[in-house]
Amino acid sequence: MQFILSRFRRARSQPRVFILPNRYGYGFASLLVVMLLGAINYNNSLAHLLVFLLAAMGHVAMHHCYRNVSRLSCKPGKANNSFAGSHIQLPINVSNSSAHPICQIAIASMDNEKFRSWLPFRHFTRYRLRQQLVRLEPQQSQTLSLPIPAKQRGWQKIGRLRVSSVYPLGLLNCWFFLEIDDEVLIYPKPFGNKPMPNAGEGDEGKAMTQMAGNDDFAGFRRFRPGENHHQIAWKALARDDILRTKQYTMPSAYHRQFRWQDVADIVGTENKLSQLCQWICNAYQQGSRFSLQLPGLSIAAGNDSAHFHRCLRALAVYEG
Amino acid sequence: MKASRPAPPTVAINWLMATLVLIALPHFLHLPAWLSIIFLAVMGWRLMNSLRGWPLPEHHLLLRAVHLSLAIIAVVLVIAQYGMTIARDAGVALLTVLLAFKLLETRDIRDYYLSCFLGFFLIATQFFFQQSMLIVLLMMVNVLLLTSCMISVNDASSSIRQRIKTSGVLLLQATPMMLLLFVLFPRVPGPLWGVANDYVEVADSMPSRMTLGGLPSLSQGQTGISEAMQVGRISDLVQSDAIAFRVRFADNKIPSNQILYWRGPVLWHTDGEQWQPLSTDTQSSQPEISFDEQHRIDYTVTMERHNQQWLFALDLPDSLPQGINAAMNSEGSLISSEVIRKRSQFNLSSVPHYQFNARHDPLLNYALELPDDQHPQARQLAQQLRTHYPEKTDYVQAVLNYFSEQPFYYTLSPPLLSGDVIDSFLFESRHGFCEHYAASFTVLMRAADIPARVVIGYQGGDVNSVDQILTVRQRDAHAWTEIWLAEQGWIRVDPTSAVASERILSGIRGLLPSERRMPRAFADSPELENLWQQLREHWEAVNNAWELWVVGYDPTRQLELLRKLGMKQPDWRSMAKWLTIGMLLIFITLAWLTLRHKTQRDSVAEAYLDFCRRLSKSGVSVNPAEGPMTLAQKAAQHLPEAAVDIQAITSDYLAVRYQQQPDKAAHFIEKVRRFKPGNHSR
Repeated sequence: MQFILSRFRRARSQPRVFILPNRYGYGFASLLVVMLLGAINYNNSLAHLLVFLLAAMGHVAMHHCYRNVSRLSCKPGKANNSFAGSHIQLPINVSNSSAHPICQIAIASMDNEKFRSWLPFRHFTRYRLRQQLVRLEPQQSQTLSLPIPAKQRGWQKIGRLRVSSVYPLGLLNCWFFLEIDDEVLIYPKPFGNKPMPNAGEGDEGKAMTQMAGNDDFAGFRRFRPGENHHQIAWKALARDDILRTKQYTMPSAYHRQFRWQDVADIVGTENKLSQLCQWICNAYQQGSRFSLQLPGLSIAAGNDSAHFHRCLRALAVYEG
Repeated sequence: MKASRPAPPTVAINWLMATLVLIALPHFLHLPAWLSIIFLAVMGWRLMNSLRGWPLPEHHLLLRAVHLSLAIIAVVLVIAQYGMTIARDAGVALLTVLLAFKLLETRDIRDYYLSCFLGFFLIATQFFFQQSMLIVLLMMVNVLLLTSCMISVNDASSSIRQRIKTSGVLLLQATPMMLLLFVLFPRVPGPLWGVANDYVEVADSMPSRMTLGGLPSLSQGQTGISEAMQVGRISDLVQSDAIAFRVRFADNKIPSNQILYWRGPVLWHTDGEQWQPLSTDTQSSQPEISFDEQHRIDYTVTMERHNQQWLFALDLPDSLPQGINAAMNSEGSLISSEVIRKRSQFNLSSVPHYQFNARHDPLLNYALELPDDQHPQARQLAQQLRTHYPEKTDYVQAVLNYFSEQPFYYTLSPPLLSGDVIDSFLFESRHGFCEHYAASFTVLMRAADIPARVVIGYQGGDVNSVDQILTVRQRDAHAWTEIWLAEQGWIRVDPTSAVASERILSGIRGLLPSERRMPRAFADSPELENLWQQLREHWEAVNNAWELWVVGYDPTRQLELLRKLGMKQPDWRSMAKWLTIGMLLIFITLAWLTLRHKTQRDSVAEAYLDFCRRLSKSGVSVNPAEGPMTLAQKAAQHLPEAAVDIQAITSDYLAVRYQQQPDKAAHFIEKVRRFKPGNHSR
């Protein structure tokens, strides 16, 4: 009794697993009906036997299909923020605690919310395959990365994932849903070909070369997490396996300023934000210091990873 | 917008091809050769695509045209071969052709599944031709392979062995449910919409008339057995080992061979060569029969289909058969109300001693008919004998003596007769089969004003000593005579027994050429012959059970079996009830089998916990938050004598768990087992 209760509790804590025949399953069932009618018509006992064997195999396949899916446990990880138009890489840890290998699991997420159809099972077409797990041996686990399209700037909920499989016979579809309430911040899509503004007055192109050349190399420092990867001294790493960053001395006043008024001539808020985003990315890649000024918000200059993301976050949540 | 379906892997297609060829292989025996060649050629095309990259129809417009026209030609050829009606053979031929062309153009998963499903269908059609145990074994293999083909498109990563293993597990776990459904699924008596003619066709069955002598068509030597049957030569039936019916006697009391006359149709009219039954409208009155009830024999007959209406009963049934709708006509034959188109079973009782229409028979006139101006010699012989023997019974005996004393021979392959067949048999060839003796005896009786008629049926049968079932085959076909005597009624007289008494006493088996009884190699030594006989009987007993209980499992059999299993009133409701219960049980068992949580024991972790337990027993405080190295340091300080052991065990554990050296696991467990810190602390 205790065992059943504990079993029941454990079952409650796991996601509910559904199983239904797919189109081939219905095809198989109609094949069996036709064969049964033929067997009856011709009083053929062995044809009955074959029909019953196939029906029984369909039944056994149902159990195997259910086991294959229900034995899989999925633990979604934390997804990184990403740019609109690219993909959120959602890490999912899948593990198999059973004594049987788990085969051919498809993980899908919903594509567009607005889908509406009165046809039954039609809503499955909303789900788009994101990642496939070919085989997971017993007592193994693996981390998959699910590429989910990042659609719009702002907070995006990952929502529902559908973990399904048709293994072994492909006649039945077995699935469960993973509700992921985590929200991921989507940065604006970086685009725009407006040249970067300079801190100084003069010619922008010249200023850029100047800036690259005028950086005074000050020495190495041990890498600290969060520092700009573009400043890592890769050659030094090759010498002695120690991560260092190159340090430059620069007048603190000398940095790029990305201001709202710089993109005033671009039409549309999103396009403006995209242009700013593009500049920030470029500047961060070059390793130069930059500051951001938005209406009602100003972020002081910096060039490390935290600063980069702080700026992008500000763009992502900007409500103009 | 339609998402394109994925293409099945080439390996999967190759496997499907091999499986389908295996499935179609038994069909090649009865399909026309050109069809088998087309099938293999089309499969070969696809195979060459897989192996050598030959183009497929979809790759080139010209090839597509070739594919389409080939398919059309094949269908037209099928129609030309079989005509427009879709019967069994035509259906199978069409299915085979379509399957080959479908596989050739298989592009995506949907086509692949369709080919698989057609393959399952093709497996089912095999049972239209053959229902032996071997073919069911082949069915199992085919289903196994076809299932593994279905797995292969869903799990391309696994090896062939894994796939076949998975499909074997599916097959094995499906067996209980299959058996349950087979036994308990309420059987519906067919047919639902009519049955193809060639499906119910039988190769050999008792003809409805009897012909003596040779006919022109026979002398050409081209006609097969079945056509010869139609002209009614019983001696041709001896060539066939096909089973006519099986009999199980109540309490396994098998009567002696000379009683086993299985009565079939009665023949009256003759034109000198051919003997025919009375037309049905002349048979009106019920016969008056008195039975000697002491010698009653109860038995069950399972009759193969013969597409005729009569039933064969042991001479003479005293009641109507149970389990089939039939009546007895005025000649004492049992006539079923329907043509026997499927295997039928009925219970019957017979009494070998009886008086049939002892006072009067309204049909006596027909029993005296002889064609005018025929058989002059036979008539002359009858007159001669009749003047010598005025008593009818003496005369009958005299004719029988004539057969036994004159040089008459019983032969299974009588010479062809021409002209006046009765006269030329009686006075020239004198080599004949039962039909010749029965016919000429009847003529001699009628020539002497004794009413006589010919009865055809079977005589004897083989008793299997293993299961005590009597099997009557076509080769046991026999013809005999009945004469009518006042106060005695119709009496059976078998003139064949006067010539070849062993035919009646021990059956036809001993008269068959030895190579039809056993392989020639066994005939030399009596021990081998004996062994062969025993093996054959066992095999036939298994086959009988298979035929009666598996192949012949129909609504009647089902009710019979369920009654035997203790169901009081088996009807579809109780069957459905038990079926549901059984299916539920199987469902639960399978669910338990597949879902039970098999935790794999981690022996290394267990051993490490054991190590910690032993340490804490000897006074080391083991903190779960501590790592192995910290614990080892603490324990070594606490138990300095055991420090070496503790260090060794810990380093082994670290090696197994963190340094990818799983081969040290056994070593580690062994060390923990021998670790006794208590000894040191004392």
